[in-house]
Amino acid sequence: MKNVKLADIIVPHHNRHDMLKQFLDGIDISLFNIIICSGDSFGNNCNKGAKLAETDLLIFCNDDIVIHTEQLIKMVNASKYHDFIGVTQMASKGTRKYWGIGITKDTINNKYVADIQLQAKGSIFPSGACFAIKKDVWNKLKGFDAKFKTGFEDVDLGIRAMEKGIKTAILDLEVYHEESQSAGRFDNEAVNQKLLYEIYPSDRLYDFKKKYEDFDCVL
Amino acid sequence: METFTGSPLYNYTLAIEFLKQGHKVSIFTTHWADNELKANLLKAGCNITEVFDEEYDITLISQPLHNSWFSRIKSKKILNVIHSEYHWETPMNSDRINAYIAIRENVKQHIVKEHKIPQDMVFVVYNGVDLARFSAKNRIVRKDGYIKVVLPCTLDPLREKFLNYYAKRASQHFRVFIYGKNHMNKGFINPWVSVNDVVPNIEEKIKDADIVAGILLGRVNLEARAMGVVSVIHNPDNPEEKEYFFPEWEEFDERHNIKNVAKQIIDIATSAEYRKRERAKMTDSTLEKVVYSSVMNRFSPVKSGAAIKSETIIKKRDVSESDLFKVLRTEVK
Repeated sequence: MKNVKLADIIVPHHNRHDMLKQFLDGIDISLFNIIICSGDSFGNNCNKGAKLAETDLLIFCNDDIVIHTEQLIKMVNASKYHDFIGVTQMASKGTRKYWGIGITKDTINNKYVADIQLQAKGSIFPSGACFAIKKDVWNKLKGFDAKFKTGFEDVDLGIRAMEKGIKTAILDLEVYHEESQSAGRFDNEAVNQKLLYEIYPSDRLYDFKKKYEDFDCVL
Repeated sequence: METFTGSPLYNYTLAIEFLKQGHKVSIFTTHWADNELKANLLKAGCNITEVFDEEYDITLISQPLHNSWFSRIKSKKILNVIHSEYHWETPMNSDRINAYIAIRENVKQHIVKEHKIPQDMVFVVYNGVDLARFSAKNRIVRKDGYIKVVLPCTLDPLREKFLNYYAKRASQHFRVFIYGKNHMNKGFINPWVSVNDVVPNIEEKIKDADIVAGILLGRVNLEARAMGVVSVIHNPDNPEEKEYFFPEWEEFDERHNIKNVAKQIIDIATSAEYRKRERAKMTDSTLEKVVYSSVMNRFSPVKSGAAIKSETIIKKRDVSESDLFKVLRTEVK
């Protein structure tokens, strides 16, 4: 008997074919549609992939994530109550645990910046490396902003989602993340950063942080 | 009927459904226990017995019955239900058996190949699930962040590799809950594995699971699907070999709804006499050949060389079994 497809998994892919293979090895394709998009920026690849999705749930996963079917099923189950779901990630060969993206104060420049959090407290929304989002919510947010070129798309999407009151959660599943393996990952870092902080200057990020100070998105 | 395991639950579920459909039902076993199965059967009006003192229209036998008991059965039709490929499910070899019910296609292939049962006497009728009891309406999605895996199974040597596979992977983020009789007195060092005694209401344990797992395709997979929970089917010899089970609802309902299963079994029993007469007119090899060729000619979508499940085709095409045999008889002439 043919299985029901639980979600579409969209994989923005660049040049690490070995990692893509490893990623696909962990997933049971009878339960998920797999959409691999390459040839453009992270955001544009994701946006293209989302257009091809057939189910109501989109799961975006970088190809340097090691995730198992059971973890994906948990994300699907969590979508019953939440619209935008992230997972904790074990990075730097498992020596660091990433929770979600939050707002912290850069003490050198004395400005508020968005960054991945190393603890549950302060995490406000999922990182872009691995997250699930309902298709109608994704469409409502109009996906990633194509002005970003492989960097900070997730910060922009997360802030927009929170500002629209999207129900968000982070699951403590500890998926393994190799991190920033694609060639040219940081080529546009300065441009992306400049763009992000033009849209979200320090005082706006401070207000955002204050609003979610007591927010606990980790399940 | 001492345990809440495959064969007793098969008979229990079927008996309750037969009673609902207005049939009179008796269950014979030498292994009764004062448990919920017995209590519920009595409450539903089932006659529970340790002797064969009546004549029945249809008798269903699970697992080989010693001839001293078998010879005492007074029944118009006798069907032998085969639940797996294991030796304790060896089909009974007797002229008194009118048909064999295999609960999976693989079981059918096994008893035809290994036990030389004529394939036209074997019908695949899948395990039935009471969809009122195992319902997605009762499903609870937990709001916490860990993966809950439920293994409703006996702890025995057959399942040892499967149990170890999960025990090795269990963690704070992947918690394993086992419900079953512990015949091996097996314990686990991993604190994230919870071993619990068998329960009569397993639906209460799987309703909030993220994943249910078992070996082969068993009741646990069907009950999980009925409740909207994804399950895993493992090879007991090599648990790394696994497949996920979450089929499309329409197909699942058609195959596994106990209402349909009960009706199919009655249909097979009531058409057994007709088949027996037809068989007597043909040799085994002729019959096999004719079944294949006639089905191929009549139902063109079947690919050449594919294993033909004649009963499935009959059902899908809404053609009665007697119609098919009319075709067979015509071709033989």
